[in-house]
Amino acid sequence: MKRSSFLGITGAIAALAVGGYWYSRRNPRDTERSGHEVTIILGAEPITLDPSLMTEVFSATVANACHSPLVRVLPGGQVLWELASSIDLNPTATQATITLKSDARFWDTDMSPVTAEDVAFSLKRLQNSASPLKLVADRISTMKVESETVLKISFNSPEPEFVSLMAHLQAAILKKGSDQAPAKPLASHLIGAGAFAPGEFESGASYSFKRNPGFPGGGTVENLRFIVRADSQAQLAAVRSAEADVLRLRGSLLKEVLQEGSNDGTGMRPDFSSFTLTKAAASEVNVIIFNWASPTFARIPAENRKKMLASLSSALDRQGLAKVFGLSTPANSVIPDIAGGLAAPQIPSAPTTDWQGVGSFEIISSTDAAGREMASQASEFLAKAGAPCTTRQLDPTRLMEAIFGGKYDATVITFEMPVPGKLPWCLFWIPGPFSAFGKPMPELASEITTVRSTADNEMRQKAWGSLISNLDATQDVWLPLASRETVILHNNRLDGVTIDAAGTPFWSHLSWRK
Amino acid sequence: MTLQAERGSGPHQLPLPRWFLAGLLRAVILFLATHAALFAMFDLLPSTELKLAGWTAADPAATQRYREAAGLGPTTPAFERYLKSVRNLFRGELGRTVSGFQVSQILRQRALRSLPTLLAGLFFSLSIPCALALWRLQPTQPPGWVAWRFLSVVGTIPAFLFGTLIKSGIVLTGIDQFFFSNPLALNSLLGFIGAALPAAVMFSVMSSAAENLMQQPFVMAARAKGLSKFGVRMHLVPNMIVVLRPLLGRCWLMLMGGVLFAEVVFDVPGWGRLFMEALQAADYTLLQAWMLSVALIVYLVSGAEGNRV
Repeated sequence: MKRSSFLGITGAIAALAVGGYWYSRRNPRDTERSGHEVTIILGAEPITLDPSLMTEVFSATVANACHSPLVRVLPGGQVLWELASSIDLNPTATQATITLKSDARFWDTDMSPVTAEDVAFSLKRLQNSASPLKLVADRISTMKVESETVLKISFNSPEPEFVSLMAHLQAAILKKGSDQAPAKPLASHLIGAGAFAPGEFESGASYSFKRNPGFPGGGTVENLRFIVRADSQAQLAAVRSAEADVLRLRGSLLKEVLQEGSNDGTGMRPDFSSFTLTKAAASEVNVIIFNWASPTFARIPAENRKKMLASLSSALDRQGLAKVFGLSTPANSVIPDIAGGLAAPQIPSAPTTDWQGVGSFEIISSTDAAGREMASQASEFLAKAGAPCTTRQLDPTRLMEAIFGGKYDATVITFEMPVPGKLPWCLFWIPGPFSAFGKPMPELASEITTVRSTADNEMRQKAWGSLISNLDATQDVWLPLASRETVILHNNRLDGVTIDAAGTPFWSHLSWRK
Repeated sequence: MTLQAERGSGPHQLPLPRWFLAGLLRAVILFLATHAALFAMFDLLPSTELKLAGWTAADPAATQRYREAAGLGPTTPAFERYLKSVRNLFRGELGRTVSGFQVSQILRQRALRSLPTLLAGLFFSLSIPCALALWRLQPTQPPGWVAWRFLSVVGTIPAFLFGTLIKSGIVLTGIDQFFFSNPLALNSLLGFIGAALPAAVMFSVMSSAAENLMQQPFVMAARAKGLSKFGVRMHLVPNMIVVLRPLLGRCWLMLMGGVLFAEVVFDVPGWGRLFMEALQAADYTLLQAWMLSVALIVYLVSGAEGNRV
């Protein structure tokens, strides 16, 4: 090889490298922002966009772009009318009349209007689905289409919280018959009436949406793009470099963004000066679950369990734990504060501790950064409270396997499906309605059925409070640690980042401020 | 030393077409055997993922529909399913993921994302050992022992750990922003991490080859003609790469493994992360296709290397 050839090739490679570097340094947002695009970071890829199969937060975050329920309920209880203009209940809460907005349209090619037929179809589909959350619609007995925009519904038992129940994403409105269309990735063949229509999807990498001009009201953002970044450093780098505009902060990310000692979220690091935080009242609860059947705890008599939990609860420095978790408050109930006055019961304290004879036990948690952090901090505080323990991380599938198989001493879990409509959804979590961690709770099911039917609002609130108080006071399985707010970090020129009562953000009102 | 002389000196002295066909045939047989084993593993073993996902409260009919939609439950006899699977395999129809994406499309997209990193890795795994081997020939300059030691140590560290160390380093020094926001820089870094092991292996071969080549008549002839030291060394490069030929296949596989691990550590959505995603989602269709694709590459590369697996 001649020297000139070598130098030529080396020069060409160097030129390519410099050119590539320059190209990648160009801020792509500068050119794309003219189209009013917003990029949102997801911590994991969504599994489905079918509202009736929705069980986890990443899918729900994306599905909130292309599907919309009739109404949204905000954490303070305010109702935001999306596709419906009103839902009227009769005094006994046995009949409801849904009136749709006349300008609400689906995002299919012919932009067909949302009709009462579509609402009836969607609710019927949910009733027939495999979803554990189909109980949102399980009291509907008959549906009668009065006109294009009016649907009358009868219930087989009173359903006073029907408006709140209709705010669930599971009750999103789908176009009648779209479930018969050929399947598309992430069930995107199901035509919805959300603020954005599905565009290009690249599995595990990015999911693009474009505005549905037929969505009534809403913001001015034209394009929405979700990018998947599982790594927390990559998430922060994407935000800092303006590649992304919105990021939900969890676990250690909060500390990376907030200034030292700023647990109330007021001070942010200088790197994030062009960003702001949108918070919703605490909507997730961190709880330790004890498996008394494990060999470590097997010799503890059943009658002592409650006392042991109480002693640990009284010795636990929840204030300190909430401080290290960040943007958290001490939790005394498995129902988060967002329940609005329901969650005030205190676990009765016990003066002595019986944990000394137990020895060290193991806490299992998920492998993600938030799970690791939560388990290690919880174990530190439990040890200070007199219950020494170690931690072990498992991937989500193995974690579930261990919990279902009863192969664990204790686990730290975050409930992220809280209580819109005052129904304690978190207790319906695994493996289905009215069960907790594999144990059916028939008495609870019966009590909830009764409370749910109470038509008088004030009486119903009291009954919910009493039910949950009793549950927290009598159970011997879980120990609540802290409630944490839902926190979204977003570009401070972006308006309309809204969080619903379930702690899930939705995107229909996004606008760029000039 | 020429390419022809090298080929003729190996244990497999076959004419080129027969050598090619034999390698291809062996790769296809091994590929089919792998497919049968993976089919048995993923399709015949009972799975519990529906139970794990918390769907036991659903009514049986709805659960069955869900299983069928996800392609989980056996609806036809196993042998028929196997034959159908083989047929689809040769048609390139690898099925759909749990979330409904075409597996072949995902594999293609992710391969395109991994390709720049692999090319960067290939560049590093050839250029670094080559440069170091030539540097060692220069008696008046430091022999590059620091770099050589570095390569020796790095070559013994698994790419996953090496990647983690590098990542911790760039995060602690605050330069992570530069890498995460520059695709070229990130691809180069991942390529460098993936290239560590093959570069270490290649260096040991290239170094001794360079020393031997310096004694060859063509080098002496070049010197006699008055060619500069740089020119002489440039004459050595193609010959050093020819010496590497029997190792290239294995080094390519090492590079691929390293790059895939580096992708997982740095959360780059390429082939490496695809495997982790499929594993975490218990997406058996995708896992099966991923393993088959990797197996195919391994068998083809190994076959091309000299009918050795």
